[in-house]
Amino acid sequence: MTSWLSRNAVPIGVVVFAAVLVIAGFELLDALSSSEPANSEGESDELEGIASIAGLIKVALFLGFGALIARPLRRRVAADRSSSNDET
Amino acid sequence: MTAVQTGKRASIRTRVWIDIALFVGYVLLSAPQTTGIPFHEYFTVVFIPIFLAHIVLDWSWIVRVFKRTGRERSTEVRFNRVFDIVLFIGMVVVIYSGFLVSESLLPDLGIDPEITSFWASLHNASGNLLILGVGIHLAMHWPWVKRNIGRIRPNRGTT
Repeated sequence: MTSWLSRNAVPIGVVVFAAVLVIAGFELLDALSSSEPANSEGESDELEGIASIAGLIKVALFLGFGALIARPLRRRVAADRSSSNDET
Repeated sequence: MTAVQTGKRASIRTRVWIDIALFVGYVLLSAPQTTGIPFHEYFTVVFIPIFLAHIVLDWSWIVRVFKRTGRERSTEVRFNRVFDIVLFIGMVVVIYSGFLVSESLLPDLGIDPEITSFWASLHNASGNLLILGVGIHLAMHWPWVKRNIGRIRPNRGTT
């Protein structure tokens, strides 16, 4: 484990540094936006029983929709690839 | 099969397993209404190293994509370059904001964060957008998944 960490110290360092930069940026936005405490007393998003499946259905729908959005792009990528093959 | 080839295959196998764990973990994390808030928050601690491993194990691909210039920059490369950065930012934001709106994990550790509307809205919005983003990411890399999904089984023999 330690050797894996030391072998991959550079990518891990880059990822952590990038994450810190992102967090710092959003902390700055938070400081500038002067947001108020959220009122979540007694609220709960959790669903019970069979209704709890709705959470997973939502994820499946969103993932599916994302994949659908990517279809025209993948078609373009495939066309791009075949045209560059024609050139070579 | 040479030792180098065996090593390469084992590496892809590890990457496929990490990707499967990442996907299953991500789906579970994205449905707190189903899994409950305590699981949603505690499982994030398990999810972070898997997410980190996903990036680190694909580091050579990331470096290759970012080093390509000129004619090598196909639509696919250009898109993946920008989109994966956006996805990374989204993931960092959703995880970090999740800690700041923690109702279970941090209070259990004796830390009671003051939940502000900024981080609560950011967590909800980025969480929902990220599911779409992961769908796109999966679709863009689907050929790789299809090509390598069979490698999750252990190597048998040298054929």
